[in-house]
Amino acid sequence: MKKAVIAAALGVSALVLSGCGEPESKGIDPKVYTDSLFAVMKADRTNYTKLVVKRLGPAGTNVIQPDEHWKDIPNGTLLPAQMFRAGAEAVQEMTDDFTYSLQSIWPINSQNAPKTAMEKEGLEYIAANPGENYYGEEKLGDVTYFTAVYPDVAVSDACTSCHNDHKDSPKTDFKLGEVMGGVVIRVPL
Amino acid sequence: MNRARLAGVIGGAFSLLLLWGCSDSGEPAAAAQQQSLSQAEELYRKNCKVCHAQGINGAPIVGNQKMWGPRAAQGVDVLVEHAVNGFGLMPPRGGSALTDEEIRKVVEYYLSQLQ
Repeated sequence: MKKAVIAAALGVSALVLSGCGEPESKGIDPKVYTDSLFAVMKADRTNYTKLVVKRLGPAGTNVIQPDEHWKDIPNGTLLPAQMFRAGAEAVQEMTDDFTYSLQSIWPINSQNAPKTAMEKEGLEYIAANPGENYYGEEKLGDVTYFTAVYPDVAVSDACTSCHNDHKDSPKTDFKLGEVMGGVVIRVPL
Repeated sequence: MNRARLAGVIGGAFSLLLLWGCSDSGEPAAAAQQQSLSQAEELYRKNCKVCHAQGINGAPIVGNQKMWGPRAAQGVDVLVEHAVNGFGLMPPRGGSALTDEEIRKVVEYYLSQLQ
């Protein structure tokens, strides 16, 4: 009997303690989450540009040929923006926990134009405010998303000449250092 | 004059002396430096922020001690030379039309943000 009373008392205590425990975890702030994702993305993109394209391309040992139509060239390799896109597509096949895409209000490929009002607003904002990011929440279907838009900048003459000379480019006067588009990261809340 | 008023007068006079002492020679120099940094910040905002606020293409982020530490250790002249002629993935002058002198001001602004 005594043992039963002690056991019951311990059980009640455990229940009470669990009720008074630490506050429920809210998880990571969506902005911190998307900022962190973007940090990894830009680091990988920079490293691909610096350690592969620049080192092994025409400006380096010239053993690979970075080109928009890389598949048609024996030693062709993806342009940094294409490599970035390939990563986004691979993630899309892997998870729905987040998505990212490279978009522009002046896309060469119309598939890369903004599709939602918030994407458009975000891309316009980062183009008008160089160096700033855009954050917002949008509801698509029954799900509310945290949407972040980060600038994609013309960092070399290769970026500007490719876009300015491209027959499908709606804008042909890009300058070095100009915002050409944005990385849209979307996370369900 | 009661004690409280006397203490107030002495305190006020002492404060004035202190302020006067501070403004003697340091103030114009400090004001000039502040003005120079403000001009540099404006140059940064218009020409460099698009990459250096974000770390785009590896650009060291303004105020980021970790990124700037080893760079700052090289000294202003080396950083200016790199910025003017281009270095790594950074194009010459960051693709801007900034003069050497303006670039030096911006570099000094970056270093001021580490203090």
